[in-house]
Amino acid sequence: MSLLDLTYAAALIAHLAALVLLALTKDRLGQWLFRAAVAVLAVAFVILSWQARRLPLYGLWESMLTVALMAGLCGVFSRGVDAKRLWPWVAGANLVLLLFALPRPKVPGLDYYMYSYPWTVCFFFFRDLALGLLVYAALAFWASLFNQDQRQALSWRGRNFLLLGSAVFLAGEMCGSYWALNWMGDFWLWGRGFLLSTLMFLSAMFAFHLPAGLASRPRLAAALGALPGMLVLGLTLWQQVAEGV
Amino acid sequence: MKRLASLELTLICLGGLVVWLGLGAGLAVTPSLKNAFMAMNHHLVFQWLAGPAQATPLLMAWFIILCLWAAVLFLNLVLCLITRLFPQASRSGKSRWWLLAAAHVLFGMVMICHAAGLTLGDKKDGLTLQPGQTVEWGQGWRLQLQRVEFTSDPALLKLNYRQARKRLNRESFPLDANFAVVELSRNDQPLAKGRVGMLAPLVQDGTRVTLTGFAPPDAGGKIGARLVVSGSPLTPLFFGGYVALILGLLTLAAFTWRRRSNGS
Repeated sequence: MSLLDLTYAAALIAHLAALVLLALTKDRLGQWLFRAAVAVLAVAFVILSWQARRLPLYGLWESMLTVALMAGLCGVFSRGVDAKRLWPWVAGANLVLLLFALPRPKVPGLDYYMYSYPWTVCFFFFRDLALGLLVYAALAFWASLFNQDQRQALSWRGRNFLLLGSAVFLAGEMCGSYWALNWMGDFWLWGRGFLLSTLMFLSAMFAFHLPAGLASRPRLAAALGALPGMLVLGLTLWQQVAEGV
Repeated sequence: MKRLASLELTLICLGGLVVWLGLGAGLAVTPSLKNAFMAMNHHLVFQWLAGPAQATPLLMAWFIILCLWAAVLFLNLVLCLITRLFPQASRSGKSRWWLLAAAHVLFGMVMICHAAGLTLGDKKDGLTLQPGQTVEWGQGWRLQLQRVEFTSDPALLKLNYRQARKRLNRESFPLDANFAVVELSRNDQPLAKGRVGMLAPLVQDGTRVTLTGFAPPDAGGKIGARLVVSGSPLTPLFFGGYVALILGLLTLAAFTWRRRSNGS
């Protein structure tokens, strides 16, 4: 069993234990376990980067580790009563993200020659970071429906991370466009990848453009706020499962 | 005017574009349209509309409707800026409103540059040359492939996409070691001459020669090069606008991070 296998197993168990304890309102112990779980993810991230001689970029194992770490860091470093309410949600989501990576060997993924190109690295890495932020935003929007006393605070938290995630996503897209310019001679290529990327960004704009009548309907607002995180995650998983990476 | 500047229309356009882009993503992998989609990358938009698009009316219809959705969204953006965002920013004088207006202006700018990048400039795609070979095309363009330096295993060039993803790695295919030397001229005036590597195009006065790949050895064992010649005057502005938009969104997020007491 390799070091990465061990850290993966430890992260899974720690997230599961944190989720159970937080759900049972054993808050003090649950919160410490959640922090420990995120710390284990950080250790796995460092080991993987060191072994791969690059940042984790693509493939279920590398992507899900980065996304879970980002969502976990958002949880751990966010302040406020509403932020603490999100911890069981983040622990549960991270558990699911890590389970997606279960069938994949816990080793660095492909060493494709393009991965030595900084703009390629930034494209993939920013996209995973953005996905982590968008997943955290989606959780905040969903949690707002189940925490009446913190509804506005959680919705606002979701809005903030949706905006931040959109900006980081765009940063990745810009790097991808520059990569395409130097690889294929144009910053835009007609094909599935570019069309889906634009679709993902535009879907993130729904929640910011709700007319007053729709914005006052909590379920609809929460669903539209959570949509980008779910959509980008779904498309990422679908593509990586289909490619078998 | 009020309806054209409304958030309802914004939402309809965003929804329409999302559905239409999703449809396009599906069409792009349809066996009967896959190659037609690829052909869109070989031309600027008007050249494509006047030529290859005629053979695939379905794709042309999809593209025109996509442009219409984008045009209505752009109109909505401009009118919203004029009738709502700028007046609101001016009335309140608050930085958050000015930042919101600025983010919308920058998004509009990226949209314009994107459209211009697809329509203006020059593009010649799909050039596969052997060393010593020259190709000429409209308006006096001429490209000569002088030589190819390929130190990796030529068998790597015969792999399909999936195999290549696994075997073309940093060790077997170092970026700096494989390159081509080209000379580009127009109306017999030399424009650019020199080395062009993978991800390292030769750029001169906004015109770029890009090496998209190497062609497997021919009968004589010579390895060729796949090249694209392109140039769009607004490419720097596109990326400048993109950076400004990202910074604008981050600044907007920072300025509006704390919720106001009324919860709005």
